[in-house]
Amino acid sequence: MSAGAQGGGPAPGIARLAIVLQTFALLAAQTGRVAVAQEDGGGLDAPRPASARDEPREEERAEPRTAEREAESVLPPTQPPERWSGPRVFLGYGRLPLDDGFGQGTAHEGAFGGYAPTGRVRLGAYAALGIRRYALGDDDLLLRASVEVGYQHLPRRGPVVPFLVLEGTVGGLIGKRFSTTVPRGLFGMGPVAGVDVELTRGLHLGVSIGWLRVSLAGRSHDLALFRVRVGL
Amino acid sequence: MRALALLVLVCVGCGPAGDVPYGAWSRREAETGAYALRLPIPPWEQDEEGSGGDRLRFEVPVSDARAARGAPPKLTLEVAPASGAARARAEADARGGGSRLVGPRAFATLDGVEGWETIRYDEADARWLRVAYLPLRGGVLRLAIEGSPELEDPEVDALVEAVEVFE
Repeated sequence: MSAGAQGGGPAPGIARLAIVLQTFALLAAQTGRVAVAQEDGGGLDAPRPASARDEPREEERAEPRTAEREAESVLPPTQPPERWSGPRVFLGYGRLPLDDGFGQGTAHEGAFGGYAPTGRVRLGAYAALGIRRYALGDDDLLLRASVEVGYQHLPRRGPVVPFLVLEGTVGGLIGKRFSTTVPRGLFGMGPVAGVDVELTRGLHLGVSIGWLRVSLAGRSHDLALFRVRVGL
Repeated sequence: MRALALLVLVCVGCGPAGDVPYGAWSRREAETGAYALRLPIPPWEQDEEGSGGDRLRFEVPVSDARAARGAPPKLTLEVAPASGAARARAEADARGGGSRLVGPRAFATLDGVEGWETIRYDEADARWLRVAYLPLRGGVLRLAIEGSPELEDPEVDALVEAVEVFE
């Protein structure tokens, strides 16, 4: 039996997963930098001149404040519009008990994905790469892509965004069986619930749990999905 | 689109359970109903010509390119009834020699049936041979796995232990 299947000590699979997560982290940092630059109104290579940014325009200086504007300024502030305040991109860790029929089968995966700013409709997608323990041999490679569609409760105040989505996933497992590489298809769907919390400006932590009904090579599996995310 | 989503839901819900013991493996029973075994298909493929009656034969093929060069299957599995007693047959196999030998040794199936087996390695053609015997109808059920990968392996153990004999 291989070292990975024995379960004692850090398996080489965990080291591979760490490398994958590190790669995702670099990708996420790069993407987040681009997103912030776009929100600022220009790229990193297109800074606005200091004079245009800081000084009021000519017509603003010339225009006197009208009575209406004065009245607006003393009215109580209206409720801010509900808008997407969660992460645009994220990287995460997921755990799926994808039973192998021999007492193992837990899959650990790293995920990279993002969300569209669609208000109360939560629309997201991610790709995941991981390993799945196999009791009788070397670990399997797990590849999958998922789409989430559902509802998220956008707060008027506060940093917490709870959500409930339907997740659909498709992918595959590649592993050795009797010294032969065997690819197997995987697809499934199920409800996932979770919460995103804005820790500091632009940095989110998310946790979700779900239940996925998955077909793997024609065999059905019920998976209790657990995932944590760090988003920008 | 809704029909497609419904179809996906139905397909996901169907199929035998994969999260039970041996759930990812297929079960094959001899035509006579004397025994059954479990193995993953693929990579194993049933040899229809070599199977029938009280015999079952499976192969793990090599790649097409290697098969075209005349390479034998990576693994073969032949199961058939034979005469004799399990322990005596295993001891006779051990006397047949081999550059490396494991056994004869006792084992038990998941149903608690006790059997005997040997594992031998033939250096001349670099192939392993693992032969297990289980009591069946006053004789034995002979299960022979032959191939280039080493056969003292957890997957092969699981295959041998999952054999069911009914008579």
